[in-house]
Amino acid sequence: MRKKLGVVIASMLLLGTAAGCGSNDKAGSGAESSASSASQQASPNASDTGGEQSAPADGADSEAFTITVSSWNLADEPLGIVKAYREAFENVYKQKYLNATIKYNNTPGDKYFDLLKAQLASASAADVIQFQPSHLPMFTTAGFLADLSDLSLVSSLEGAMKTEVTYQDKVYAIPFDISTNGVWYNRKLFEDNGVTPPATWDELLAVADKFKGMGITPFAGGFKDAWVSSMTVKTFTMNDYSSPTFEEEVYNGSKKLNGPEMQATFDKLQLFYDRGYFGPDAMSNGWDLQRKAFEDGKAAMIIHGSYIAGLVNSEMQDKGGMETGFFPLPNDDGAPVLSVGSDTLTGVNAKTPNLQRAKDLVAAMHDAEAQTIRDKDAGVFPALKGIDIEYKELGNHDFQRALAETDSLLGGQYVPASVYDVYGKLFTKIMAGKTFDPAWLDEADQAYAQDKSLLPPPGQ
Amino acid sequence: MYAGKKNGLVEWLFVAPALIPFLIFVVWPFVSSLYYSMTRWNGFTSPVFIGFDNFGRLFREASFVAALSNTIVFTLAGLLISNVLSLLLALALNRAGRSKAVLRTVFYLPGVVSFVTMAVVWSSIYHYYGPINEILIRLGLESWTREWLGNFDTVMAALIIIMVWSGVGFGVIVFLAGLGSIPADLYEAADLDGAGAFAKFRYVTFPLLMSSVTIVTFLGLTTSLKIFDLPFLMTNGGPGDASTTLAMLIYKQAFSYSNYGYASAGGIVLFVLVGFISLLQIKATRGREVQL
Repeated sequence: MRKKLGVVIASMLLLGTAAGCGSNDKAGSGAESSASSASQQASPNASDTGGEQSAPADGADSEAFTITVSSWNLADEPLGIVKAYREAFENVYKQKYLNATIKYNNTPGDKYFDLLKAQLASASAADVIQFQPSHLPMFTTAGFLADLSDLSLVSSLEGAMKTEVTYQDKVYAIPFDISTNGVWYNRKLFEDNGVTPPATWDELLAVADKFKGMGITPFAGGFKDAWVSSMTVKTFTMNDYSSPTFEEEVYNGSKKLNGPEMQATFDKLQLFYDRGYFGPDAMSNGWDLQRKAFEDGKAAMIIHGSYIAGLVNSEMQDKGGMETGFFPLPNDDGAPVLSVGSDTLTGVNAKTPNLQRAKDLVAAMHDAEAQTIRDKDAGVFPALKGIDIEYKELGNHDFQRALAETDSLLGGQYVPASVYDVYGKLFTKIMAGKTFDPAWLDEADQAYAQDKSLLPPPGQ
Repeated sequence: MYAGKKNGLVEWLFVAPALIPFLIFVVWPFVSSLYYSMTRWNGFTSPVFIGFDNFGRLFREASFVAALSNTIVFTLAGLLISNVLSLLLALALNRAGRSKAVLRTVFYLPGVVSFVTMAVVWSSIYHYYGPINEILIRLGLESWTREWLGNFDTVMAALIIIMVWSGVGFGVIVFLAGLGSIPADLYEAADLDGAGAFAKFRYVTFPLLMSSVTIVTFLGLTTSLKIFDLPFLMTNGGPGDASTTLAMLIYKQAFSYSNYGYASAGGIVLFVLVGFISLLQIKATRGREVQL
């Protein structure tokens, strides 16, 4: 299962570099012009989509109707990036549906997914829904998602990105982004102190010790938020999987979640706690204060996903911006493994009365130009081929390079949500001062046994 | 006989507008959840009947035992601290004269603050770099500083303080109403009998306040046994399971993990617990109520 995503990433990198030639660091016009050309290649013109209800390619549909979209990340945010993105894809959509009204059902964070499941079960979900890869098998087996295999966008998917949205040979969603978690660092802090990104576990500890000795928290912690705890553990686990097929082996019963692999992960987290790498306020902070500690230079590094570089740079604009760097969390032998996947999938509610209109909206939401507006300042990396963005942040360049050069796998594909919750919970026990006991992992193993039936069998 | 049947039909017709919604929205979901509690069901596909397996699993799981224990601690704290404090404050306010109305409002205010706002404010107070630790440092007690919500020894106490702070006002209002309804001539008679302040409280005030005690205790018990929003917003049940409650466990199993069958079993256990404890409490307090 482990594979280099090199083909996808390298092509993104090359196209991005080519598009960036001649543009300045402000990533304005260069990105826009490249997006325009990409738009011509990959723009999901509504007439490209299949389906018997499709409106004539040469004529717009003037019927007035309302179509709903539910998401956790389409609400306004202070930087106005999402609003601009919404306006951009609404314009694309309204070229085909002149009198369409798009209504957004936004619910923040973790609660969104709980609500979405309840809405789908009660046939009251929006026409277009956004969700995460872990939900796809359950939603498809329950018949909640419409088959999107006939969307022209599907031809822009390949490799892991296509695998992630395919179930029994049909495509049920379009991935918005490609993401992975790793270590982001404060570039200035590293450079000012002559620190270079570590490549091995021992080097990482040495870097952390150096910053700790200087009175700077090595890693910003924000474990008051459950998702940050789970995500941090997941970032560590990938390096300790004993083989690329570890999750399939757990599924088939030849490996256990309370075995040496997960014990190694929690031993490392225990070491981080014992050495005080996450700082004294790691359990008081949520994601917002964790980020602030990193932005303020109180913490040198932060373990998170692709969004960090763009987000912190935008938030620090009034102080001249903030340059970051990125490296994969090192392992013992200097050959780390990244868990790569999409954070956001867009699908169509199978029960929608507006099937074709919903499919066309999915296409518009992945319009290259609109997506570029969303991605370029927020550090989101498009999953579709042909959308080329010149990122202004050096950290994002590091990120693209790491994606292209590092071994990766689709982590969590065969792990139920309850197990990651248990991992997060166990991690908070360590952070609250309890010493890790391998017997704790029995709870993860039990949760796995109980919820295994919610997973798709490997290979489907 | 015919007229009797006809009257019976008319009676049912009068009851129907209330009975039908009650059957649909209360009885039917409850009966359904009884069935689902004996199934393995992800909420989407067909449930599979598994008998009482879910109930057996509940009592074997450490997280359920922890949640049950935490729920009981919240309930006892609500019962003992909140009620006693409410009564003491009500007694003090009852003698406060002109400032009574203002103070009553002040004590009731926390009860109308939204939990989300409250969570933000209290998170700041309990933060490692928050005012509590700041004061301790200034007092030379640096070794006492800690992450109040991220520590096994303090998280429950920290949450109970918020629960009491937000709930005490309601008890004060109910007790004040009860105190206001006690006739003054009973106290005058007690004075003539030479009763002191404590004797008046024991033999006059408290017996006549028992109906208020029943109401405050009943509402406090049922709210505490179902407590969800406070630990959910403040700690998400952590660290570990240190502040997880039964209602949170049910919510997570149902909506986060899609184990609706297992969650229904948890719901049934919670229902039985709330019902049993509430009945005990009503039996205990109702028997002591005094009617004038």
